[in-house]
Amino acid sequence: MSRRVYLAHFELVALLATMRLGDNAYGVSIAAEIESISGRTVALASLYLTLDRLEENGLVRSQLGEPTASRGGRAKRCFWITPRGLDEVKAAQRTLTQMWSGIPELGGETI
Amino acid sequence: MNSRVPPPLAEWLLGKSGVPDALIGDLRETFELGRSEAWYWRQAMLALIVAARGAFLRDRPLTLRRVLTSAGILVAIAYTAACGPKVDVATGVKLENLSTGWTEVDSPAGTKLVPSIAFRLTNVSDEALPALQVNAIFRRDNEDFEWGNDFRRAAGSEGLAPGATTRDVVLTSPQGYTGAQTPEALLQNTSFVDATVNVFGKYASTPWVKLGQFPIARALRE
Repeated sequence: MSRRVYLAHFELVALLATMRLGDNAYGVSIAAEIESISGRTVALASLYLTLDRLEENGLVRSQLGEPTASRGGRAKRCFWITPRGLDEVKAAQRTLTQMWSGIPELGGETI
Repeated sequence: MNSRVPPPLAEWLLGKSGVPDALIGDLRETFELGRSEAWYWRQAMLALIVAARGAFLRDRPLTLRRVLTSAGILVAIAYTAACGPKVDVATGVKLENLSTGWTEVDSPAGTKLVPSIAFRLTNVSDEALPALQVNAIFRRDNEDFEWGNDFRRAAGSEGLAPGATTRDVVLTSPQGYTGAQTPEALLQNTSFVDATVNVFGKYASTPWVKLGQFPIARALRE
């Protein structure tokens, strides 16, 4: 059984953005997705550092595509979430949902 | 009509410092979308710090070798700049008989329409253009990032002679819209978003330059 990975906030956000983008998840689109939803500016190097760590932990996989001219002849690195990554996202969702509930100030339902 | 090019020194430093190619490409793509040079330098410096930290942790001699390699490449670049190709592709070739539209392609999901562009290239310079290549980058009009690309070699090593014109070059995005409707109905679908294509060209060892940007007509192409 693989070791449990506890996701940091930005790791979770990067995973969710990757899932939202589906087949079109690569550095530029993931950063744009995070920026458009969170309003937070994303440094691409930080994003790659995070995605590398997620890949080392088996939560995402990546593959280089074809080089394109608009990128100076450089290939895109496309990412997709693994089944293990999906499990970790679901676990994080459960934890956060439970933490939110019972806090009326945050609009959580009291149980 | 040339595309914006990031600060050459910053990009060169990135390329020689072990920063992944995909990250350099992402920075260039984002810069072309309108970011400032200051933004590029900030992103580049952060990428360099991250790469230097990783290189130092992994292998110190390798870092030294890269510095020496970079010096050698600088000399090679200076030599190539003095003796290399001279024609600016942006002004040296002309796009003619240009048409855009949506092409129906086979798909197990039903009707699939992909954006495409067709044109011929005429060499309007006074030199032959060997290894002439074109690349099309498609984007949906409501998105900033790429929606697919296509690449063709328009002339081989013999080159496109001065005044000569290529045969039709057709570039098609691998990505498009699918649905159970007819192609005509798909074009009228309320979720249909129009697309735009940027066409780039290069020959021999010259860098890619933008030849033009064209809206994809909302019409079917053969």
